[in-house]
Amino acid sequence: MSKPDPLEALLAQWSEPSDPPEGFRREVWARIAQRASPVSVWDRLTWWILQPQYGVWLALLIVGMGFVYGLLRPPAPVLSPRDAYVLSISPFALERHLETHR
Amino acid sequence: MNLPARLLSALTLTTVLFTAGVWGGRTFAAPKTAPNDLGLGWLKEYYHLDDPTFSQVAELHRSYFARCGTLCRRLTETSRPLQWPPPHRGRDTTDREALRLEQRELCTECERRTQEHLHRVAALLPEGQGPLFLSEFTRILEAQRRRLGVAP
Repeated sequence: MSKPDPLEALLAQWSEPSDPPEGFRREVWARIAQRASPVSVWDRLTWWILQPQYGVWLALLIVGMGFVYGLLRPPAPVLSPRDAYVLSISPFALERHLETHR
Repeated sequence: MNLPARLLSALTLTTVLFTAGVWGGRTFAAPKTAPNDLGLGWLKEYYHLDDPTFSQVAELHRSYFARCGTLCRRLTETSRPLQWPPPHRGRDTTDREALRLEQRELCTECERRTQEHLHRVAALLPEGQGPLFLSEFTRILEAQRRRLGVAP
């Protein structure tokens, strides 16, 4: 005859656990929230901006910012006003001279 | 798509959109004045021309530019066939000689008209400014002629 397994007595004592006490879930989430780091303003803003429905507006904003930047830095004129005058009357700059008549 | 790939896509898209915006802004802000008008504006400001004098000067330039444009086009048309090598090596045909002659005549005509134009403008400028204008622009045109190696 084999010796009885001590685990069998333990297993006989086990019963299905009852439902968790009331407020258990709430308490768990409250503890998680307590330990989590607070959400920064930057995180909130990023989250808000990166929502798909704002994609078009964000694209327009970026293009608009580029446009303003470009307006504030216009290209340097190719000719100074004095050089433009010389070019317009000189017969010795035919190719460039022709351009001024177009 | 994983996070680094998403970030890279967002960064690329942002750069492209921003660059497009900058290009649009710079194109919009670029000066749109025609070189002739820019030059005339300079003349008015530099020689302190009043409005009646400037309108006379501008009218003089308008007729000069129109005539000059016609001469320039004729000169270009005359020069075009001469850019090709002669059909018989080392020898110019009679046609090519005639074109060269016409080219020289047109150049002389252009210069004569320029000198005439400068004198007319100088005559309209305020007292004392005419001779200065004439000497400055004659000097500039002479320097250009020397640089191009054009015989007077």
